[in-house]
Amino acid sequence: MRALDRDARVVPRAEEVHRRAPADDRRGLLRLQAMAGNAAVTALLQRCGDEVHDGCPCAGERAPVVSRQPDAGTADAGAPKCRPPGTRRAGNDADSVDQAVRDGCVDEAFGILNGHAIFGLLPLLAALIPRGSFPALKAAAGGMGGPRMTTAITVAELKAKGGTIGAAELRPVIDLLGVWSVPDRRDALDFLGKLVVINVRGLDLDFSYCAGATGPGCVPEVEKAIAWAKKMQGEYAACRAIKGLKDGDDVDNAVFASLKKQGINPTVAGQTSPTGVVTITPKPMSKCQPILIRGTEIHEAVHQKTTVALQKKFGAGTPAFDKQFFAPAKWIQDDINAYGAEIPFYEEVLQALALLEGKMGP
Amino acid sequence: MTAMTVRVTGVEVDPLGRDLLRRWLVTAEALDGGGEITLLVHSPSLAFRDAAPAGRVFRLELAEPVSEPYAGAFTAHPVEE
Ligand SMILES: [Zn+2]
Repeated sequence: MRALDRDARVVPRAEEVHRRAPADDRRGLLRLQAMAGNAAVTALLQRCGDEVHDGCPCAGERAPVVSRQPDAGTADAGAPKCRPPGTRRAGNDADSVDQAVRDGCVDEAFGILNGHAIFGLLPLLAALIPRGSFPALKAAAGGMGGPRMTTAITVAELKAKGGTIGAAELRPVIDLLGVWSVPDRRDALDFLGKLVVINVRGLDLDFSYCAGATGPGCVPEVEKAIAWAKKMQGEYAACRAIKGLKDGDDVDNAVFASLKKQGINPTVAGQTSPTGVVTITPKPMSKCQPILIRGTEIHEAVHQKTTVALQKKFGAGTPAFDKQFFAPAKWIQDDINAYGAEIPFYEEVLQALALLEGKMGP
Repeated sequence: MTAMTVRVTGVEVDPLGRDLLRRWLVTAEALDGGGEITLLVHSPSLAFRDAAPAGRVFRLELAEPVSEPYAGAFTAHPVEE
């Protein structure tokens, strides 16, 4: 089972993983000097302006045309200034990214940025915001880093504004964080100084589950889950009145048939073709998914407990075990109990979400 | 009906949330060379009659044609190793 939590201390920080700069950190002119000799470097350094003097290294040359470095996004991939993938410039990541963008090496800059986990990326972006290269970096972020990068920039800029972050500033960020993994959301809120956690039966809830500026919080989805659990309790209870159910499969089939009769298709994402192939409809991480996963685990824990108890009493796989295990009355009651275990969890989640709303600030 | 011997390799809440009744995704490795099969189930405990089926070997009998993931009826009998 996938753990919802992770211990950030166990994950090697991306900064630690990055290789140190190579010992040979000669850059730019020094490197050219080594390759092409002093004359070439002197020629570069001693420009003469509009006038050409005898003896001047640029005599016989037209005055240089001053031009900007290529704009970000038109990186000269083949240009020698840009470091090939896997190699890097001297200095810290902020300096390296800054210089790479200045050199028009956008691929290189985002190679560094994209390699960072969120907890390393956010402070790195914050360090880049005051740099002159930042507007070009930001302009290229969508194309080179995707929504992960543009959201990270929004988070870093919010932090850089300084001052207390209230609900009005936080809610637009919450809208963006919904598609991030739980640890990444938490790292972003922590970075903003807005990590308030309420633990509900093993699930850490934070502001990322609250309403955004435009998107709803998890309240509607949790209310839907409560309604569904109650409905399913009713569906199972109704099976008690059905005669001739032999085993658990019959119970499940009866529930399925009842839902079908009501026009309810429990398959919400994915369609089965006539050949039986299920086409998956991929959907992005939903911001409320961790709540629904925990609810499903709580439901399953009830079935596990029953299974273990019967195994202890009758022995796993014995005919007596099977008889009890598949008995329709037991099957019905177990699911009424299992859906029943979900409901108080969801209710506690609603209470926690209300508390969090109150803690978000003005 | 399709029968196969499998080792359950993974049990997780279906990350894609494809089915409101079958919320668990069970991944199993077919031991008779059939590759991997995934099953959407309501409850791993109930489907495998085992509170912790991961890592264990079962003989599966699928009532419907194999699909990816398989969401039909099946029975699972533990196989002693
Ligand atoms: Zn159940």
